[in-house]
Amino acid sequence: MHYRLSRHVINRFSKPERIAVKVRVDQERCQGHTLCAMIAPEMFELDDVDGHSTPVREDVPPEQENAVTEAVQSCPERAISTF
Amino acid sequence: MTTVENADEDRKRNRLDFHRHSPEYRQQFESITTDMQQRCPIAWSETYGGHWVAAGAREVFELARSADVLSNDHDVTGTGSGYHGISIPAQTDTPVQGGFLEMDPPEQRYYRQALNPYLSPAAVTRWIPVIDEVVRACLDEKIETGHIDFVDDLANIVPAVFTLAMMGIPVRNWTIYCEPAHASVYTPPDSPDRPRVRQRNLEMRQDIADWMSRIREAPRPGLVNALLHSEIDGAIRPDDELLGVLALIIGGGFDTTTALTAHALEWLSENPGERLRLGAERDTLLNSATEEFLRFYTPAPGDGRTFSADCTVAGQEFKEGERLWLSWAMANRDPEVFAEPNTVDLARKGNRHHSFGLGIHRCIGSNVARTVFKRMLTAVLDRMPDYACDPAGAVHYETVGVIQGMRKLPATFTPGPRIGPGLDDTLDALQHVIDEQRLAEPVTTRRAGARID
Repeated sequence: MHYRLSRHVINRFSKPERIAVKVRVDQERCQGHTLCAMIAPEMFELDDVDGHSTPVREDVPPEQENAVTEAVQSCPERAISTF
Repeated sequence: MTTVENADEDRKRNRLDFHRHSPEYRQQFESITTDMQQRCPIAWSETYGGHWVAAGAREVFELARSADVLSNDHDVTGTGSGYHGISIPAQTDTPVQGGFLEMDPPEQRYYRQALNPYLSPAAVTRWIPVIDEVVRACLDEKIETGHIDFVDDLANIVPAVFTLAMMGIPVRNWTIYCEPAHASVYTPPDSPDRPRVRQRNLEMRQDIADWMSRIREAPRPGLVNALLHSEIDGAIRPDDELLGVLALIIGGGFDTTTALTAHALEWLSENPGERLRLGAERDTLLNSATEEFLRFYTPAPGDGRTFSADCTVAGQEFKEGERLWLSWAMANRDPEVFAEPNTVDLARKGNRHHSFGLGIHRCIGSNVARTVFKRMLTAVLDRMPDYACDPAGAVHYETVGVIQGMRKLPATFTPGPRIGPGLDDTLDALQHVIDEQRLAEPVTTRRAGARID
């Protein structure tokens, strides 16, 4: 805990770049509603066979943050989270 | 009163006299919904044999996702759970299992896995040129006259034709299927027309059974073929069960998309400014508008379940065997989740509506519904941009207990030129394309989209 806090402090004060937001889709919860891919098509890809979603990559680029946030808020199963 | 009865009274202290199948429920939907959400998001009603009603978004969410204590099973032989599937009240005359929507896992999962590769987003996208041709032909039949009934002449036809195409049944047979698929939903049990509708329904089921036999003899790609070859634990499934699955696909594929399209076209006629905006800004608005029409009009307003265990969910205690109505339609109007829930906002954000259900039974045809709806809607906006519906001729289903649908939606518009052949010739040409390109194969076998010259 102590070390993590220190790292954050270092990141915040000595590194100018931001910490990337990460996104995850809970595969147990996703039922293939496909709203995330409609809202943020560059961030979520749908399985060809059942339409279930996975993030294209875990790190969310700054220009995709709004779309990913809306995808989180639009998922009927509440399967998407950012961290 | 005994202690047990006292406890039961206490469990059911939130009470409601809930008459989902009455015309009054449709007319007073917003006030009943507001009352339930403020007073009793889960309530006990003595109607229809006694059942729970869930109307709050949080409650519906938690319950719908509790497949471990909720059953969809419809025990038509009376040899298993004894549960009554998704209908409330239970079907009384010759109960028929509603396919995998009236099954629990693992059987339910096997069926979905067999059908998913025909219905996934990637699978449905392959069909767009075919859908567009059917839409084009439907509009061409009416474009020179300046009159159309959006239900009879468009929204009934396209979902029926496309569903049959995916099944592997000749698309010209849509006339056998279309009327009974809709009429069996909107015709009340006591209607004098009921015997005729039942007869048409039997003819439809006979046609499905005939095609099952033919496809078994001479395989053709499609959902029927997939079902004939589906196995659970190495065993082929009985024909009765497969018929139930095919009837579910027809029931789910026809009336719901018709209902959504008709309501959206009616609303856009009543709100011409919003119609102009949707036409002009469709690149950014079409997806959100589609989800908003789905939320607001919730074509399939809910599903029944049976508790398979004593449990407490969303703070309410339930007993095994009790029945539950999950109201997607009322949950879709919960102000805790949807700001100004009784207003249509075509650009609504965060629209996590419940219209395709939640959890493991999520509508397997949701990608079909959205695609067909969008192709019909945009074609109307392009070719009949000044259409005006005639409110005096519009006929809504009298009740919304099963489907919130429309029977008639006549409209007038400035006539325009035909751009291709009529419906029958178009369907004959498309059948050739479907068969030759084997379009009804699953996406795992055929990835390329349809080509129409």
